[in-house]
Amino acid sequence: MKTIIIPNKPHYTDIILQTRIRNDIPNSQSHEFDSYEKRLFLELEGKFDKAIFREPPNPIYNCHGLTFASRRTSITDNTALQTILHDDGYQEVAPADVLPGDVILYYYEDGDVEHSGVVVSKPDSQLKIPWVLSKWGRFKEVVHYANDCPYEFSYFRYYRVTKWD
Amino acid sequence: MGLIDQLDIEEINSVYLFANTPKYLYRHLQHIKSVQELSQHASLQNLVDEYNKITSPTTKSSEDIAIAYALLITVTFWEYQKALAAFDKFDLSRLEWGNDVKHIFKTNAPINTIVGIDMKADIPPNGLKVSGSSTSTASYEYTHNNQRGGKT
Repeated sequence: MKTIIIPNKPHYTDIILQTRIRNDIPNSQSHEFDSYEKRLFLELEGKFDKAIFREPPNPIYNCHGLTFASRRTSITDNTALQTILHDDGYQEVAPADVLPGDVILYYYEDGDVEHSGVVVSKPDSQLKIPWVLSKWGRFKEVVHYANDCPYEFSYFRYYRVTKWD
Repeated sequence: MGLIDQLDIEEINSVYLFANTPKYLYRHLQHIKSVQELSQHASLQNLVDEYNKITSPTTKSSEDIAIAYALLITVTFWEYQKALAAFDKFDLSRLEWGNDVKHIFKTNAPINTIVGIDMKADIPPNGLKVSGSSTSTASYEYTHNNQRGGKT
């Protein structure tokens, strides 16, 4: 099973992507995907039985592309994410104040942002954890409990756009 | 047994498929035991040969891509200078994040030189002189080779 190459298209492309104050954001769109990959994903889905997997898989955008670039491309640079948070007016929100529409960032212990998503529910009254819509790498969009995913949930922060001027 | 047979393909695939960023890929592949162990058994030339074979533009599958990243990560367990030289033998442009892997490796370079400043020393009007100079009075240098302790 070989990689599907879209005729007359390079494997990787990028687009013009800017923050609200027109700082450029580096990005990349992958055009590679194969049936083997799809089968593997289906096997991995079984490990997350509470999650809702949205069709279809899509290698063009990643989690940060879903959260910050309207599903058009992948953002992989940590510095670029900090630029977006700053330029677009995001401010941190306390976990108790989280609302649907807020953004969640999953940090690794060294400060690298491993994952992100959009909050789609208020935190559960018992667990204090919201549902999140996020994109799992090259795989599908997934609606899941914020702590029920393949990414480290030890260090996370919520953000909301609060500044506009 | 071939090089690739020694790798835990399922674990490597799951890291590759869920990776949102090159750093995630780098970090989590480094944590895979079979990747660490391969660095003890394979030569750098073996890794280069295998990489070139499976990343051939006309034949590579997504599994090949995942394994190719694992081979690159195996290199990171070598002693720093040898690993850095080895990266030049790989055609990193064949992978979307190939050059990112090298960049992350370089930014995690071991600290070989520590420069300390004696704040009580008299600083001459024209500033501090480079340590090692016989006239230096305000700085000293400590060098420790191979601090990373990688495979040599």
